Amino acid sequence: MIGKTNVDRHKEPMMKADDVVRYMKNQARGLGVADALINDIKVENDKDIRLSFNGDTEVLEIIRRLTIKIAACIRAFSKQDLEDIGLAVDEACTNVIQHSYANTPNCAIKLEFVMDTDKLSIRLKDNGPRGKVFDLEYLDPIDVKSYLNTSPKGGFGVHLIRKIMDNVDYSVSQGAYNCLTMVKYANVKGKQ
Amino acid sequence: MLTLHHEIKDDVDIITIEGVLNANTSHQVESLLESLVKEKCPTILVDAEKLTYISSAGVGCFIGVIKRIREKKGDLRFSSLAPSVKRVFDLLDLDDFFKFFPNLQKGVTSFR
Repeated sequence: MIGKTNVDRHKEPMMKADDVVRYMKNQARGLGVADALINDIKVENDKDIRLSFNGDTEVLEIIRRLTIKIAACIRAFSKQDLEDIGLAVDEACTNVIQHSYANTPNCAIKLEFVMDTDKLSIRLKDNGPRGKVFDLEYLDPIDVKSYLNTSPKGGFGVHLIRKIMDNVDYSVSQGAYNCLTMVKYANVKGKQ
Repeated sequence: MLTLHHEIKDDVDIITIEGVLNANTSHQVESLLESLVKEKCPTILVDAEKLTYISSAGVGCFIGVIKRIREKKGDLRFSSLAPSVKRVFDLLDLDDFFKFFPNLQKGVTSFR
């Protein structure tokens, strides 16, 4: 039904929190991720899906798989779109864990998915002290070829996010979460 | 989440890599590569047939050593990448920066 008719997303969630949790636990078992880390991931939803979790690189793969599962509710996305969106979220979470929070344990990350029939908006929130990892100066496109001469190990994440997502926006509010908003449209016609 | 296997065949260091290569597992690959970079002329083939996913943290492992390897007239090449893994290299405009081979044998013989 989804994708064929105009679903009123204010009434029905496209994916229920229980389904998200069940999927997450199955995946975690296969990956051998510790229960304690998984139990820290909180899932809420009304019309949207919200995840909150501790920023530990061990949960990155779970979060990526969950992102793909959630994004797949929008049937108009191709398989490649879904893989790309998972990659963008992995890159964004990695940046927050390693740079915004500088690998501090027990740091809080919130991830929100707002779904429409042809569009997915993802908000990633953190309150890391070095929360300027997605600031405009970092968002300038890099010249990959000349960058390679410096033998960097990182710095490609934001480049990938911008390449994959159609809109990327970043805001820092004093006393509140830093927020990275990423939007992906399901087809070129929907892009503005 | 990531399994590494290292063997030498026809003077080529073959790294077989299986699973997920992201910011959580990249240190495993990094430390193996750092030991191989010390060789006189490193010739490394990364066989990635069973690599299911790579993020930029994973790609960064190879970029971090490639300059030193090439300065010694060696190289690091890839074989058997799944299309979804190869795509990440393409998205980063690295498709002509590394050499990719369809299978292990072709990758090994490319060093002859």
